Amino acid sequence: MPITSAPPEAAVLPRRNRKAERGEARAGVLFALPWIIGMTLFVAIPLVVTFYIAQTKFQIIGAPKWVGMQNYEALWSDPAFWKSAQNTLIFGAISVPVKLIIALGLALLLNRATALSGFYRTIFYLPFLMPAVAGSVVFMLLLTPNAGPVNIALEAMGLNPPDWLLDPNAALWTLILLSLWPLGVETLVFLGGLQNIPKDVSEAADLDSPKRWHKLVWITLPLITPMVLFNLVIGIIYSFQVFTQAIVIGGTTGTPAEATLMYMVVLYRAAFRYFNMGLAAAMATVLFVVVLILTLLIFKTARSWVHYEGGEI
Amino acid sequence: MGTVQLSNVRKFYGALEVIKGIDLTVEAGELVVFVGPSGCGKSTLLRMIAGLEDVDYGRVEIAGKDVTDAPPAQRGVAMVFQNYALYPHMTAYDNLAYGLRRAGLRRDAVDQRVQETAALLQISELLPRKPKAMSGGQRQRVAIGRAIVRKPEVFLFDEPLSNLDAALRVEMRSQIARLHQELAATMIFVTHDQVEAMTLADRIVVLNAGRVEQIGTPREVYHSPANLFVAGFIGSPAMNLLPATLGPSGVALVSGHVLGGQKGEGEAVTLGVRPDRLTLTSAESAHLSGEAKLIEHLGDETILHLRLADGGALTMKLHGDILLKIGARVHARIDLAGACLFGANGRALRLEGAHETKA
Repeated sequence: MPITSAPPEAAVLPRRNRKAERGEARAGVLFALPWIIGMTLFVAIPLVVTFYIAQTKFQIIGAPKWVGMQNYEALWSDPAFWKSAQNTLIFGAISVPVKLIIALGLALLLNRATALSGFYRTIFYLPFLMPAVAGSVVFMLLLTPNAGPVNIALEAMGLNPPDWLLDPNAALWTLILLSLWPLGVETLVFLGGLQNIPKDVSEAADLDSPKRWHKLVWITLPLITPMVLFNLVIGIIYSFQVFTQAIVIGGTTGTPAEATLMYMVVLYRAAFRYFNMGLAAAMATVLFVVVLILTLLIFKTARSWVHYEGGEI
Repeated sequence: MGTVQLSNVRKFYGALEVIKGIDLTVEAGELVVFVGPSGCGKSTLLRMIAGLEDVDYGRVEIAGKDVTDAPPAQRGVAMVFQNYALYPHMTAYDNLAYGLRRAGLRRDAVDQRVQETAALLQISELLPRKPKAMSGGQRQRVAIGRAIVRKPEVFLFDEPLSNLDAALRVEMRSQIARLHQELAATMIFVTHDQVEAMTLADRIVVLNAGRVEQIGTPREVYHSPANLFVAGFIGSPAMNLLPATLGPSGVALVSGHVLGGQKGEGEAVTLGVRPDRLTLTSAESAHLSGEAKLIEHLGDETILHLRLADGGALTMKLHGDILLKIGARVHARIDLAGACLFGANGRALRLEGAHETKA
């Protein structure tokens, strides 16, 4: 591309009224105050307390006793910590991208203007309102080895289906499969992004190339990258915190053979089975640091692939 | 450059027919302007040519090929949108290059075409910028560049100047006129602005409620409107439409004044007189008299709005700065040479004594 001596972008943009901006900022802070107070009380302070408890021996009853890095050392040599971390990483690495791709596909379908699009959108969102526990139980029933409708159907087709929930080689994949349902929020976020694409920009793309995938790859996807970023970060955070489905299916031991033993399940076990709050807090701290580093890395790369209409981050 | 032929095209939104059977041929290299009030279907008709709206009945041919069911990108058309519709995540260069790249052109060929187009439109210095770092006028020039770079058979403009300020609009208008001449391109231009229509068009298509009211050169449409709608729509200030009858001595006004010209047996007609075809006169020689209700001083001309004795309104456009007070009694004389006559059905009648206009 030719480089010409264009003036810097800021030079052509109008200068804002700084004084008015300050007044607006004050009002903005006031309006956000209830949320800031809640955030401080229920997120920031507990976070700091967690960092502290992670370096103590604390069993709910009695005062915490300072032990320094002992809890982290105990974690380092705990096979359950490593097994659950491995399971959780595999779970996240597969379920997050697959989930994003399916959600995007659904959003693209739901974005088509038809007489029934409102109806379809409601139908696709409804399952999200179902509690995760109930959803997991339904899937357990569907996937029961002999009497479950899924296996009956697969056997009728001449296939040899696995014991979805009890085969150690299949259980983690079953959990990943279950995590793909429901896709309500991800789909909704993508749908919002798609509907935000100006109609004439989309039409200009139709005039430039007759191929649909051209428009998807070069126009649609770049314009919804803020939504991809959001879904990616939230998806990673949620996948590292997968708990409900894991504990309903695998209990606190990750049945079968620790195949479904997830990080949060081990954390829960340490805190509320063994009342080892110090160890649980150390696990929470490790998770926090890992998620923070991953998120920061994603945001750093985001500058090169996320397009913001209002300006760069 | 290709022709565009529409044969009895019709369009429905549900049960509502918005385009009611339009036949039109745009010749190669011609600049045709669709003009009409809001909701008349001019943009819909343009979008049907572009392929962005389905054609329910009829046929669309571009450069001799039936494209009625062809997707937009395979019609050989390029479109400039009202809101520019630039790809916001791409630089101006990439906006221009996108269609060429997708069509499989080699990198150096793409670069050559983009640079040539940018030079033609004087937007070379904008190429590295993204749309958000450009002004409205710059964006619209890039949008026009994106249309030109593809070398289409037909250019379609959907009210491309309506988001620009008045000065920029005049500048862009002349730039489009210049491009039309330089490229010898077939262009269809939609606008609700009559000045744009009059200054740009080789031919004007006046649309109303999904129908063509008149097709003609700007002069034909202005001087010989086909019906009352066109007479009232084209020209600013609008043509005065005065009730009259055809008497044995010619056209007679409600006031009793007989103007001469066409004779008849008392048929009700409407006399159309452009505001600049009225002159101030004395009470004795006046055809119409009224009270000045509003006076607009435009410097080189004065627009005078009168309330007539019979309650009707009359607008006069007078040369120079006329000093009059509101409420003053004003006497006007009609120059029949520039007047039009419309029958009871609203269609134009040939007015004897009116001057002939040729395109």
